[in-house]
Amino acid sequence: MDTSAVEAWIQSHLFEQVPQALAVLDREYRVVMANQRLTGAFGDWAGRRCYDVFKRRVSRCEGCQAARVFSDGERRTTDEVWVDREGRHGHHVARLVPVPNGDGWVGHVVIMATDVTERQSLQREHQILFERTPCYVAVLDRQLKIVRANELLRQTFGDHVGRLCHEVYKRSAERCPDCPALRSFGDGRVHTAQSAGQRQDGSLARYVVTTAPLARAGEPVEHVIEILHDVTDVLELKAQLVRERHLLHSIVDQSFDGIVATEADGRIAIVNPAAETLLGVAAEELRGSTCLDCVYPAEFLAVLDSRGTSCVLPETRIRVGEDDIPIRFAGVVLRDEESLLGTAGFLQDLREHQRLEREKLDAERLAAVGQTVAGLAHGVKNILTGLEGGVFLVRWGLEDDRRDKIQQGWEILDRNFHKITTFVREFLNFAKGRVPVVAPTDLNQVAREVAELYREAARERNVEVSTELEEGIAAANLDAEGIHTCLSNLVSNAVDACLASDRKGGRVVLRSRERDGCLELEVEDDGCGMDYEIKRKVFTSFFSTKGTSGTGLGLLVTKKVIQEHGGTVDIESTPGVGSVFRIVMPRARLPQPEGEDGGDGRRNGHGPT
Amino acid sequence: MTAGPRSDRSSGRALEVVVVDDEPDVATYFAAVLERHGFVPHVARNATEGFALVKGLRPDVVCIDVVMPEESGVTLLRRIRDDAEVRDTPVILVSALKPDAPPLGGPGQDAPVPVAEAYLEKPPSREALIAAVERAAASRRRS
Repeated sequence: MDTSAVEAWIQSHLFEQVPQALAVLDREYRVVMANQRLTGAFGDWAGRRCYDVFKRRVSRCEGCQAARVFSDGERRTTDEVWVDREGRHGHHVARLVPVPNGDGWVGHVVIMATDVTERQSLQREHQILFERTPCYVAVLDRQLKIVRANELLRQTFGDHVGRLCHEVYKRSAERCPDCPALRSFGDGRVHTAQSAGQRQDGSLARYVVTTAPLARAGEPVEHVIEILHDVTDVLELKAQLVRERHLLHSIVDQSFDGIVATEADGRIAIVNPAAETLLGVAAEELRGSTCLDCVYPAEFLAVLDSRGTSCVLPETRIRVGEDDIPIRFAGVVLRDEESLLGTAGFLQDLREHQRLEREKLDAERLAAVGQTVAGLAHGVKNILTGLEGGVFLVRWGLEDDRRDKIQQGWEILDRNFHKITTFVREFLNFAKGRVPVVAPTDLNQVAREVAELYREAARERNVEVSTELEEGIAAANLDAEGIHTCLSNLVSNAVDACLASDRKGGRVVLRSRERDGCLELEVEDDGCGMDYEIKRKVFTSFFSTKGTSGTGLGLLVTKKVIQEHGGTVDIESTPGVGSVFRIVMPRARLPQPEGEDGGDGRRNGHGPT
Repeated sequence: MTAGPRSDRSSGRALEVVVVDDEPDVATYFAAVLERHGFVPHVARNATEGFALVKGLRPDVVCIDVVMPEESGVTLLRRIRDDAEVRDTPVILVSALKPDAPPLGGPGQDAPVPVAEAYLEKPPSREALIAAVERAAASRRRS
């Protein structure tokens, strides 16, 4: 090889090719030569002083290293912060080399600078990582002494650099039986172990320990980095979760209501014993299956399909084998934003509830029959008194030959014969009862018909009959003719009450509404009103205050019909102000249309006819 | 069975009885029985009319039907007892209600029922009616 060619290349190219920024200073600190790398980083240098080029200063730096090299001729290395042509600060390691002439006098200094900005920032990152990691991080030597400790470790256990790791973490003089640090020292690999210890405040702590050797492959391991993760809280939460889960399972298992739940994939996960009993299927058969219509009513499946979130069904039915079982149901769909997490359903068997409800209705109906029989006596007594009076007057007339008494007595007899004929006919109708025909009925339609029926006749007597009907009441299972009779009785009474009032004219309002699952009908008048004694008697006997014009059956019939609908009739009345008769029928107690209820005793409360 | 006129022994005046009943046939019957037995009956169809008659006539006895529209017989009795001029008038309550039924002093009353001289269950026999009226009239004379 021709070494002269190499020397020539070094002389002509090396200055430009070294991966460092090079500058040559004279004794005035002027940059007299520089390579392209330096020009690229710090810009035009010709004629400028080094402190101006590297630091944008106007005067020489304090403790100038170049000055020392000029004076003693020794090489030096120095850390510098320089400002580049863009104004950015950067870290540089600068090597200052003297260029002496023959007699040792240093006329120039060469600066060779390496940009270490990036390396420094990496170091800083490493430092932050080491200090701020939310774990305890320590560097151990072969004796297991702590050489370095991070911030969290120092804060939690105190500054224990130089002490043994097990003394710090566990307050124990003994090494741990399965020390991962020793293993990392031994085989140069990463190891993990679980360990229990004691914090500075004496509380127990549980750690996951990871150790890694700090050495290059093949070199002996002098240090190990040890990372401790305090998992005390996690383990405590886990234990709590297990307890909660246990509690939840107990509640679900012991519940009288059936509880069913599915996972995100639609598979049935929970079927409690009450649900097993209700559905008549073993939980094992259902768990893991996707047969949702085995456990949920159709309405809830529709809610699920339409991406709804919940559904409460006060009364619905679910298919169990051959039967349709009445249940109350509440279901929830659990979603996280868009994705399905699962579903849960609560099922309550209504069979027992409905049996009790039916028994209660029957008992109420029997009570009504009892009241009716008691009330009969009153009606009969009034007519008998009239007949007795008539007979008495006729006899007196005959005995004393008084034609006026005979005439008076005969009129009374005639009137009371007519009355007892009507009474007996009406009573027979009441006692026999008509078989109610229950069908879905528009309540407002019936109310409108009754109002129409009375409006004209009432207007002729200066009584205004009007309606205030709530729109949108869904059709209900009613005996339309029975309800028609009830409303007719109440409106007729209300018109009579207006006529009996001292005031001229009057107002009768027929209202309908639905509140909390109850159908309500109101007939209000501003007629004569009733006082306490009359209010008490009005529904419990054949009671009439209308002299010869009434038999007292109207309100009894009304009460009977409403009771057959599972409802009640109430009165609010003030003498001289008016009365409100209010019919309340809970939808849940309405009779079923013919053929759907088995036709039991519900509509035959008065025995054989 | 015609009886002679019933009269106050001290004054010789015929005894006057006011009958208050909304049922006209019952009122007519009671009046006829009383007239036949020598009393002078007066009929009122409701409590308001009855109170006016009691105030105007100062009768010897008042027979009141308990259950009437608007004001009841008990209310009328209370008005009589609250009136200084007529509070001593003997009153007989007549009703188809049992004597222990609520409006006559059983449970559930708002105010205590004032005391009547007699209580007759409807329909009373002629003898019971006459006996009650006579006893009531006598109680007035004694007091």
